[in-house]
Amino acid sequence: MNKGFNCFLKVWMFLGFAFLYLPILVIIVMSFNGTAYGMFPFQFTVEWYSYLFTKSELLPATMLSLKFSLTVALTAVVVGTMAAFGMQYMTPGLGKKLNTILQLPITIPWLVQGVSLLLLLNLLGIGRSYFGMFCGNIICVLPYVVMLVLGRFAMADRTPEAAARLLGAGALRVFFDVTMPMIVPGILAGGMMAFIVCFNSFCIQYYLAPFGVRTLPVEVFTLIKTGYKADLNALATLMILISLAAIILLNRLGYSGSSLFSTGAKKGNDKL
Amino acid sequence: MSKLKVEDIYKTFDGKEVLKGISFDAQEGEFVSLLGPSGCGKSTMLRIICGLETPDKGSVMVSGQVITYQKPEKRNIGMVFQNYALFPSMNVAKNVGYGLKMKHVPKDEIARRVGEALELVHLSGYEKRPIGKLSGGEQQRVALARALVVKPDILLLDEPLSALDRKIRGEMQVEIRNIQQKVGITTIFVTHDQEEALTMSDKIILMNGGKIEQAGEPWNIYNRPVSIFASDFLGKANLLKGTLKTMPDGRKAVSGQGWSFPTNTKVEDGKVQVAVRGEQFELCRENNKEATAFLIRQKIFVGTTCRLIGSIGEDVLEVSAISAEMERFIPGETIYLTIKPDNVLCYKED
Repeated sequence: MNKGFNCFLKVWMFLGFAFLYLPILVIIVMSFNGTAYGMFPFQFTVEWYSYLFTKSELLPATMLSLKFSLTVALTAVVVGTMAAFGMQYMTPGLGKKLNTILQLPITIPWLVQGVSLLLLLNLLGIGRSYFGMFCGNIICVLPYVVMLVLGRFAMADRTPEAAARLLGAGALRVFFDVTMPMIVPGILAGGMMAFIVCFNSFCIQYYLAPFGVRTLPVEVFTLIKTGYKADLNALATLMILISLAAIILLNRLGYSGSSLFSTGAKKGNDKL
Repeated sequence: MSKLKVEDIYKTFDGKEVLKGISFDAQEGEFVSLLGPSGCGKSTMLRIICGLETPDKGSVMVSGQVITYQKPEKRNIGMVFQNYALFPSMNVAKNVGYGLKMKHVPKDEIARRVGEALELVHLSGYEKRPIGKLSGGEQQRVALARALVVKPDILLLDEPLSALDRKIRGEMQVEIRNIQQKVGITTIFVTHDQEEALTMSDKIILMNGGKIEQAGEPWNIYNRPVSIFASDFLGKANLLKGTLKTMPDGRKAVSGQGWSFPTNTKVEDGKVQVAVRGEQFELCRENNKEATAFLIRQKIFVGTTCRLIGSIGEDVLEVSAISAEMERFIPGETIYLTIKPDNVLCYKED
């Protein structure tokens, strides 16, 4: 009886994973397919990779997206950490209200946010601009940072900070010596979320990017209209490999998905 | 002049009055315990002494200087927390040396003093160990070393042994007391464990509901408790209701339904609550005029001692003695109890 159920569960597990990863596998496989539009017969080639690095417009767009997302992520991490830290010292009522407001951009559809921001920026006379796009993406991404850093604070033991004060450390020293190491996993997780969400953020960038400026999501959208080429697959494959490498590196350093992205309220003595 | 003097401290949290006029002092080198049930305000009092809280009213003085509103980082007070509060991102040496680093002590002197502190707590050679690899007892000793290495005026300990298991706790009690006496530092120790307070302290301050119930030497508080609460909180006391009468010859006796004990209490005659400790009875098989009959209903073996639960008249009484003595008694027997009048404590019913 149990054996049959176990088998059944395993089959479902494989089906679930297949549903998730089969499309990704197809993308990777098709990056080596010489036939246009990813059609059969399958012709092995690496020409798409060389095209990607020479004539394709995807690479410049990718570089722009990387630089831009990094800037947005760093800013969001600083601002978000300051917000989460400040909220530790508010009365619980005020803190909850502030948190609700800060979490709003997660609930409001990005499409709505993009359009509203464009209208606002036009009203202010700024219009489409790097500044506008930057602010728009920060708004979009900040809630994730705040949520993850706040979660870290909720799990953390605050008494070492009191101990540091009694040993003569001023408020700033306490923050850098004791508080920061404690919340670093939250900051890392927040930074990663911020980067990923910004990198993928099509709606905001489509509406707010200055004319002629094409970040990767916008570029891909434009290309789909003008004609799909498999250099897109090549880029996707490279991005997947880089992401995998990053996760393996983090694992080696001792971090795991559950420890970084945990927002539970359970207090524990674990280091991460 | 007392090393530490706390005067008339009041503190309210969210409308609830947690401290209602606490005053006490501690002499140089004295080990004082703040003892009481959870919520009596003892931890709050400690936090006010070290500066993590400020009182609504009252003052705190160290060596004659008022420090009531001074910032915690400016006070020269060491504290050991219940959960040790070590810095997880640093190793043992960096933890212990942190206070010295804040005082800008040169590096080689820090290393020397850290070595001395670790030797004091019997953790020599642990400098490079990461905190995560230490046992509870070791972490506690690191926390103690960290607090002591900066040579504070006063050492505060907030239930430091509650997180440890019984056996280690017993060892740590003795070790902490030895270290404290060796260093000679004035120490305030918060605990809810009366046995711990009795073992370690020069003076016990018993707190209840934000007020001081009784303060004094351990022997005094244990044997001469001033209230029902005090007699029941330290050790175990049998609480009975009875009537106090003064005899024509001047001696007093308190009696209930079926029992009577002589007493030296100063309380007036009338209805009283009586507290008698189980271990202060003398047991014998034969009756004499002074003794009270005790019908044994249950015998519980606890190891060193044995507890006999039974009835004296209509009331239940628990008596305890060394196991060797108790071997001859069995449930169902009636034996006879006597007790010294000094050990029969009476309190007016409130």
